[in-house]
Order: sequence, then structure tokens, then C-alpha cells
Amino acid sequence: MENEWTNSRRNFVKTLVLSGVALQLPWLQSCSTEKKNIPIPDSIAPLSLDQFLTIHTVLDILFPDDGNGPGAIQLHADHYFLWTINDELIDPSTRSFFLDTLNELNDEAMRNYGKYFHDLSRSNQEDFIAELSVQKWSKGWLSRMLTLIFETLFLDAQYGVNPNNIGWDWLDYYPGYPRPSAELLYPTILNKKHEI
Amino acid sequence: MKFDICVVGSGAGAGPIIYELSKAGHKVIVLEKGPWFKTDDFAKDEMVASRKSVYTPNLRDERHVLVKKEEDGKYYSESTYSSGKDFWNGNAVGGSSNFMSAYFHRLKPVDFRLRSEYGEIPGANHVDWPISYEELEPYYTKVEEVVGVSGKVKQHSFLEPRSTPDFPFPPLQENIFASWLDKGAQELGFEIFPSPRGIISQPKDNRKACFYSNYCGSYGCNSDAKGSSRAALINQALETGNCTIIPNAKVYHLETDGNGTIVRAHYYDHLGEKQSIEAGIFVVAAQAVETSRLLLMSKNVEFPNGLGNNSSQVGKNIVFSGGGVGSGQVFFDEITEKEAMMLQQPGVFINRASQQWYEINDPAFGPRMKGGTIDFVSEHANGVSKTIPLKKENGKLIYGSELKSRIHDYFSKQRKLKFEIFIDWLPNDNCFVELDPSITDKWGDPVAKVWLGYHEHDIKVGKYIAEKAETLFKQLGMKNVHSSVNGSVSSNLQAGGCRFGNDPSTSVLDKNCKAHEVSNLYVTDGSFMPTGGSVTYTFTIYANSFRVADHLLQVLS
Repeated sequence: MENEWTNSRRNFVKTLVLSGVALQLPWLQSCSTEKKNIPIPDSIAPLSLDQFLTIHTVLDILFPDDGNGPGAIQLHADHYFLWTINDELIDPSTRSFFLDTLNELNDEAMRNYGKYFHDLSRSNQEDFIAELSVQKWSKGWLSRMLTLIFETLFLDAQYGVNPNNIGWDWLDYYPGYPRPSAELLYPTILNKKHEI
Repeated sequence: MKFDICVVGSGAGAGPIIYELSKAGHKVIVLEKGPWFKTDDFAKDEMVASRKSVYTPNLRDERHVLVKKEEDGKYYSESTYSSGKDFWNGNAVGGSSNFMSAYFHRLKPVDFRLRSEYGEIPGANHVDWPISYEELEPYYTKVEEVVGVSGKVKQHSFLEPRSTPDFPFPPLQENIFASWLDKGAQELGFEIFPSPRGIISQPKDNRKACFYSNYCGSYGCNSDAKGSSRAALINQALETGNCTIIPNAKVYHLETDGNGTIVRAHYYDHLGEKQSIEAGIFVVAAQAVETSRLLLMSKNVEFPNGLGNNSSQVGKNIVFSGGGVGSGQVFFDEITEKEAMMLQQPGVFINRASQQWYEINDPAFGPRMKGGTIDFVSEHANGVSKTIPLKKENGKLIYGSELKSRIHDYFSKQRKLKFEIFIDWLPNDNCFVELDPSITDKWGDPVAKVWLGYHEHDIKVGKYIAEKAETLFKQLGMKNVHSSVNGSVSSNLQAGGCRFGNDPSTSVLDKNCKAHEVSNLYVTDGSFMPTGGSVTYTFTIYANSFRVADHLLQVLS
């Protein structure tokens, strides 16, 4: 497995170089001085700022605000990612998968450009994601990020996603009723005391 | 305190026992592994119902090991924790009946004598039942009245004999697509009929009528219209004062006295402490896989291979439901605006089925053989689940604006309708339950290792029937019509493992579902079924449990 991963990464780097993306480094470096207008939550633990900015950017590329309905950021997918990895009941292997691959992504960017992913230009970020979407080591991770975005599109706004039901409104989506009260939301429902 | 009856599990196989014996004045104790969600707890939250393990155990704590045949012809095992593919259904008071879709078709008389009607099939272990349809018919009628079944009886080639002219509750509201199916079937000469549902369309006792919540299958019912064991039976049993429920009680051993009689059930309580219950009669209804697991775990000197397993039959001949699924799309630009609006009406049901090919008599296809049922259904309204398939096309990951357009088109320009095929899953030597030798649950008990071997005959039959369903969809002008029939398993449709029969060397239970080798052990979930028929199982499990309840009332009197 480890060998597979190493080989996949090596091939990935090779692909980047061949496609000429890596040659654009000087321009990318200048981009890093640009100020980002990204609202940072009060607590982003366990992520570092660079990790948060990276996941924010990845989600934005995967589901952009392109005029056709809300984008991932409007749906609060970046906050939802934080919520997900902080869920005490999430399987540790899933949490590791989410975080390790996020780090791998940044490591690859650093190796190739000397910058974190979020510091690359938008067009190079998009090229980078395009490559990741066909690489074995990263395709599954991107797919899981898309599923997280879908959850922010359809889940109840009480989870801090889909604010004002913008996801439902976009798709003219009719959910099930009754909607959950606060005490019935996950994970609170698990702690609910049921008398005999 | 010693109870008259101790019931392990509280789903469809347990409910009628709990209901009837409590009402008759017997002291009943129910040990349910899951928590006790009440009606008001069942909001319609996709996060709770299908994105997280709320109604099912966390796979880190409790898992299964599944053994499947791969393309190279060899069997490979993988735990559900590794695959992430849950094999649990519903662990809660009321069991998975809380979360069923409640398609309530009866078995047909031929289902009780599959072997003698259709003969031997090499590699299949199908046998006749020790009872006939006529013996079970009064209990189907009882379920229709007590649990509540809605629908409209319509004559068709394989309509089973009935002692009542119609269902006690009128049909649920239908989507316009049902009328399109009727028209298309008429044009083709196909027989279709309104699907009976275990969902009441009018109030009954303390239960409200269905209010079309839009999230039905996989969700608990907020009106109690769905005939779950909890809503339809256990709540009434509790009113007698004779029924005690202990939720979060995981039974791990049934102790015998050395003379073939169970004296107590040992369980872990909600704190993980060991407890036990004494009773005169023990009824196990933990769903087929877990029932076999419990009996296999309850080994002792008297039963070295597991309780009631001296003939090595426990866990053997597990069956699921054979068949597959298919779908087609109606695009709104091909129908009127009004039709599109009606087609998108949330909550109401399609409720159409065909049993025209319940038996296949087609010389071009082969000798007369058992066929199955087609249920025409809506695509589930769950938003996340509907969207997930859109992110991939031919293995390629789709994202960005392209993905957003796909999603928007999917929700605004079309509606997908589906059909489900149900055929017999032929019991065979490669489909059984055993204890995994190395993997344990959070209490340290061995988990169930489930072999999922299927018979190729099932694929052949499933494809034949799917082709008929596709023909009807195409007749309606639907697009992208296709189906998938394979040997994959629906974990919510499980039976067998403790089949009943007259010969103790080839069956675990007698015709009353009492273990041949144990004087006071009854099994009343789907485990008793030697063959599953070509419909979903819950209705038959309910009916049989009412039948066994009558027997127990006689025993106790």
C-alpha cells in the first residue's frame, strides 16, 4: 500500500512537470503576497491556518459560486469539514484519511511550488485539482469532500449548513417533515434519555 | 422474578408474541439490544437516518464479516468496518420494522411447496414448508387488521386465496405515475395491481393516518401510520401492565439446565454490566443473522456446537431476497407543466406491483419455474443519497460547474422512477452464518461471519422479470431505462438460518417454531423460513409470529 502511494505521488509530480504547471512557479510566488478575503472561524482546531485555507480553497473549486446556485463556501462546507473532523464519533481512520490527504496535498504543492496550495493562483489551483481528480491517492479524498458538500446542500440548517435553506431553494427541494427539533439532532439524539 | 416469557428482540418477529401474550395476562420481558426511540423522536433528518449510525450500531463497536464470491470464483472476506458497508438494519425497540417501507404482499400457496412444485435445482437446498398457505392465511388476515394494511384487492393471475374480500384500510394517496403505469400495462396486456402497504390510511387506536411525510423507508414514522412492531403492537402490550421492555440489553448467552431447557438469558445492560433474566419460555427474534449468532454463541456441554445445533443446522441456509432494481426517467420537457408538477408531488406513493410472472411459464425461457414480484416505486427523496451518484461518470470524478449543472438538471428537469424485483433466493451451501474466529464486538463476543453465496438460477430469473418491467417503462416513453440484477444482498431482507421442518436432522425448529432439541426455545423472526418466497418478508414474519403466539397461548393454558 505504501509503495502504491509513493509511486502514485511520483507519477503525479511527473505529470505536473510534463504539463508545464510546475514551470509557472515565479508567478505563483508573487500570488502568495496577495491578501485573502477568507473569513476564519474563531476556532479552527485541529487545523492549522494553512490547512484551513487549503480545505476552504479545495471546497470552493469543487463546488464554486458560479452563478448557478450556492457554492460550497456559501453552504458553509468549510465549517462543516471542521465539524466533521471534530465529531467525537467519527471513525479515527476516517479522520486520519481526511487530514493526512489534506497534508499530502499541501506537501505536493510545497514540493513543486514552494508554496501551500492556497497560495497558488486560481488557475493553477484548478489545474492541480484536475490532476488530483485522476490520481489514485487523491481521487477518493476529493470524492469524499464532494459528499461533504452534498451534505451541506441538503441537511437541516440547524447543523450550521445550508443557511436559510439556500440549497433546497436552488433545487426546489422538498425535504421530509417534521423537521428535527434541537434535541433530535445528531449527536444530541444519541444522548437522549429514554425512560422505560 | 421469573417471567412467563422472555423475548429477545422486539421487531416484527417479536411484536405479535409480545402483544398476544401480554394481552392474555402473561408476564413478558423483552430484551432489546437497541435504544428506545419513541414516536416523537422520529423527525425527518437525513443526517440521523442515513448519514450517521444512530439507528444502527457504530461499526467500530459492532461489525459483521461478509464473505463474497469475487470474479475469480474464490470467496473473500471483509469486515463491514473495513468496507464501510453496513449490514445492520435497525437496532431499536421495534427493530427494523420501524424503518421498513412496508410493502405487504402475502406469500402464495406455491411458496409453501417450492421443492414439490418446481423440483430439484442442482446446487440449491430448497425444501417444502411443514405448513401450508391455508394454515397461515388466517394470520395474514389478522395482521391486516391488527397491524393495519391498506390497499385494494384486484384480481390477477396469482392473487392468493383470501378469507376477506379486501384490505381493512383504503389505498394510500397515489402519484400520477401510478395511473400512467395502469395505462401502459393495459396497452401491453400486463397485469398490475395496487400494492398493499403496512401503512394505515385512516386513524386506528392511538395511531394517526399517514400524512405523507416524504421520507418513509429508512425513517421512523412520526404518525405511527407505519405498522412497526413498536407502534402497532408493543405500545398496546405496554398498556396491559404485563410487558416490561429493557432497551440497550444485548443478550450474549442462553443458559440451559443440562436437560434441554433454557433457564436464563444473560445480557449486558446499558452500562455494560452483566445481568440475567429467568423465564419459563424464551423466544428469540433478533433477525435471522443475529439469531443464528446467539444460538451459536450459546454453546455448552449439552450443546457443544451451539444451542439447538446438534444437527449442525443453525446458521445454515440463510436466504436474502433475490432480484434487483431498475429505473427510468421522465423528462419534464416531454410532458405538460401540470403533469410535471403532479409527478413531483412529494410524499404520495406509486404503489403499483405486478405478479404476472410470479411463476414463469415460457417454453422459450425454459421449463415452468418460479418467478417473482415487481414493485414500482419512487426514488427515495433523500437529497444526499440522490446526489452522490452524480459525482461520477464512467469512473471519472465530476466536480465544479459541470457537477452543479448536473445536479440542478437532475432535480429540476426530470424525475427518476424505479422498480424493484423480488424473487426467491435459493438456499445453498455457500450462504450461511458462522462465528468469526478472530473478530469480536465491543463486549468481546465473536461477530457473525456471513457467507453470501448465491445461485446463478436467481440471476437468470431476475433478469427475465426485469426485462418485463423495462418493457413497461419503455412503453411509457421513459428514457434511460435500465436494470441491474446480480447476486448482491439486501441486508434488510434476511431469513433462514433456523429453518423449520418435521425432520430434526435437517431443520432446527418444528412446525410451531420450537427448537427440536430445546424444550422452551422458540424462534419467531424470519429464521424459520426454509425459502423466502418472491416478496419482502415482514408481512409473513408478522403472520407467522401471530401463529406461534396462538400456539404459545395453548401451551401456557
